[in-house]
Amino acid sequence: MEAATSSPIRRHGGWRLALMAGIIVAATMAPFAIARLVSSQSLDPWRLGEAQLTLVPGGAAERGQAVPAERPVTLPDAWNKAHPGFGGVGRYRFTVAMASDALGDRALYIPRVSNRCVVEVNGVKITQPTGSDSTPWLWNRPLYLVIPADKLHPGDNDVTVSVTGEVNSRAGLSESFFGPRLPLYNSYRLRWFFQVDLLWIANLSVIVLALPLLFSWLRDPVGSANYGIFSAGAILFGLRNFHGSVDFLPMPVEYWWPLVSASLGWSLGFIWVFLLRFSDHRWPRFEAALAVFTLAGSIALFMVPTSRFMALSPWLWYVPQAAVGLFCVAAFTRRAIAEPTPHRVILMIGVLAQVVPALHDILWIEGAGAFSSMLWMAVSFPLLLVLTSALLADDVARTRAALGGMNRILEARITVARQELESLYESRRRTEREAIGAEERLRLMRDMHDGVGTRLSLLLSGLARGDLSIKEVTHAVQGSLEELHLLLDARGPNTATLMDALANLRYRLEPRLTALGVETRWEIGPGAESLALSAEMTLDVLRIIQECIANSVRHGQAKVVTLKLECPDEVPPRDGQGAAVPPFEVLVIDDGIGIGNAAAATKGGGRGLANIKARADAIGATFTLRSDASGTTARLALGHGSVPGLEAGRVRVGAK
Amino acid sequence: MRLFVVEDDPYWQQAIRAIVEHRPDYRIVAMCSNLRQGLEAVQTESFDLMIVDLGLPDGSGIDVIRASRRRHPDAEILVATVFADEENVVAAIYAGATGYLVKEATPEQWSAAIDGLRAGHSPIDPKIARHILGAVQQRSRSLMQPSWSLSSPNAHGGADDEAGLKLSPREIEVLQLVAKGFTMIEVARFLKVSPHTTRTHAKAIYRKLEVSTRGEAVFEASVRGLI
Repeated sequence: MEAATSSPIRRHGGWRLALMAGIIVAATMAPFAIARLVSSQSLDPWRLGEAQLTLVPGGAAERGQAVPAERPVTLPDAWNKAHPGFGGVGRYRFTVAMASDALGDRALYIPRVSNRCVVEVNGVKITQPTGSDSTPWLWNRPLYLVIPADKLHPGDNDVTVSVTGEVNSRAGLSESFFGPRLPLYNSYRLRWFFQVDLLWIANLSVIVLALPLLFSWLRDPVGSANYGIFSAGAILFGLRNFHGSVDFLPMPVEYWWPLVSASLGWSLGFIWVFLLRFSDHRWPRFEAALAVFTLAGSIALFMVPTSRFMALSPWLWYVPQAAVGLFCVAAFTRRAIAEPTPHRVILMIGVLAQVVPALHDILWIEGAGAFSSMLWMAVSFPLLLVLTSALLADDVARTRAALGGMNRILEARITVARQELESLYESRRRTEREAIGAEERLRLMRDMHDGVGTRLSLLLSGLARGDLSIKEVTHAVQGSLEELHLLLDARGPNTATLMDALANLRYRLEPRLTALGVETRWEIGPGAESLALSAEMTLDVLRIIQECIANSVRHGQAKVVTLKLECPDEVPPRDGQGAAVPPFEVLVIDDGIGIGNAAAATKGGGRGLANIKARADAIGATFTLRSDASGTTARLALGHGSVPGLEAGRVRVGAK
Repeated sequence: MRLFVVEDDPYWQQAIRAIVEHRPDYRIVAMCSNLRQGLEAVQTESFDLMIVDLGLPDGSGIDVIRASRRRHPDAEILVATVFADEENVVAAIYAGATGYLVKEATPEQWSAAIDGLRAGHSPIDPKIARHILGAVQQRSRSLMQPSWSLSSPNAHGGADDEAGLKLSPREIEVLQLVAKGFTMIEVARFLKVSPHTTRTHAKAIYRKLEVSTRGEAVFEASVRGLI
């Protein structure tokens, strides 16, 4: 499925590359623009830059310890930088002078406070607009509170922000603003969008865009492993990033912090492996080692005491993660430069664009940046993942298009091949038809030569000489028609056996014989129904039988003619020398006066009998005639042994 | 008897006229020499028996048979053919013909065939009997229905009563014996019935093979390898 990623860069338009690079650069520059947008400089008239701070260590009040004295502090006040090792409550007190006409239009805006805070004005607690008290779990989020007019009075007012933070957590208080509600709210809302809403959108987009890739992987786990690895990392990353949006701790902080940190390691681990595989680096041992490291590191995170977690976790977890990440990015970048493809180049730009946000965030974590600053990678990295999802979707689309193109080519080839095959078959069919036609023509010629052809030739000759009577012409034409009927009797789609052919003959002759007062009888012996001969042999047998019947009527003056077909059930095996002919006999039995008593006018010269014997000899049959005053029996026996000179296949048995 | 003749060959037209001349009870009401004339005359003329040649210059006599069967369901239809080949004869039967006649027959044989047809006799020769048997068996196998049923028009949307298209066991027996070469009289003797009964069976077989529409006729003909 990822075959399309290796296509050379030169195949694609440079404008696409420029466009994508521009997008990445813009994405990199975006944090600077956002920082300018949400700058609090316009709110300077209402800035609370100085405060009196009282640090109350965690549990001190319960232990009855004395509360330390207040001391001045400049905001922002990041605890891990200004008060390392402190955990507890920091009470920031401000004195705000108020004129009487401004009492109804005042609000407190804190760009960032972490982790919990309670706001009091003149000793009265101010609740959140949601109705709850002002002590939710806040992580890098702004706070805006409307100060009711009845809580203020003209002159100096006491505003206290009590911040609760864990030891070494990145707790503290940013610079704050106390002033007119509208400008403060506008500034607060803008910051909320970039610091909260945008993260929601980015993380949700990461998850949504990764889901189709996950399903692609599920359809083909081996062939599209890259999709599975990337989607796992992206979905995990998107889900774990919502930790900054929760207003409560889902579990005790000693589990919550390790879980949040470990999930980042796992999601990044998947993405590093994806980067390597995307650049055709298949390092199974490295991947296994990374999995072991991630697992071991995750377990170690849970074993670090909470009080030291924030101090140790960067060195224990984030720095090694960053090192692994740098290694993978370097390997990927090197391959992307050495063997560039459009997707690799675009992704490389996206990856490299993470460097500046990463440096910013690391510095911020270590306390080097402004406390109220936003985390850049919280937005930029999801953007990188969205970009990667788009690239992979494009990869899928390209692969699909490539497959479609290949299918079309294959279909075209198949069509051509089919046409060639059909043409070949048609040519072959034509050849076969021609061969069959030629064979059929030859057979018809052979059949007609002795029958219709000879009769018509003689007729023509006789007519030319002018010595034929009408009766003779009629007789000759009648004979020719008889020959044609014999051909039809012997052949046909429904004439498969000798019995079928004899039945046809009998049906055709029967009305004529009946008209002459001759009764026909029909006897079929056992086995005769399955006796099948070749069409040529059948025709010869029919000619002989028709001649015999004609003799019985014409010479023997018979009144009853019996046609008998006998055939034993068993068929002898072929001897290999010629076609094995099943033994059968056809008998024409009449009750006439016998040939010897025939009238001289009808007796003829014995030419008919000679013809019959010649035909019988030709097909290897034996013709015998027994005639006396009580009748005549003509017997045609065939198949008592192999037939010399007959082609194999001329005799068929059991065809019906 | 009123005869309706569709024959394009002048010789055979003349021959038929000669036959009619010997039978004062015969009267030709229409002598058509092509399909168009035949189809027109069928709509206007009344007749008892039609003699039709299948090979007409502008089409097939099958169309005239079908039109006649619709317009004059009680009229007998006799197909005149030279060789009585099963392709033409069976196609005509499917269209509604009730008999056929070999053209070379003598005037006496023509008269006998016409009289026989009027008496309810339909000739079935061994070739045609075997053809019908083969078609029925093939259809029975293909439709996985009980043997000897011929229900294709209904199976393909025809409106005819299915029972009317089934050959009875006795009709099948008649066909089997005819296919083996026995005459109707011998068949009657073998089945221990009267010759009239066997001829009635033959007539019934013709009627059952007839299909009601042109589409069905084409379908039947294609299934049976006729076209």
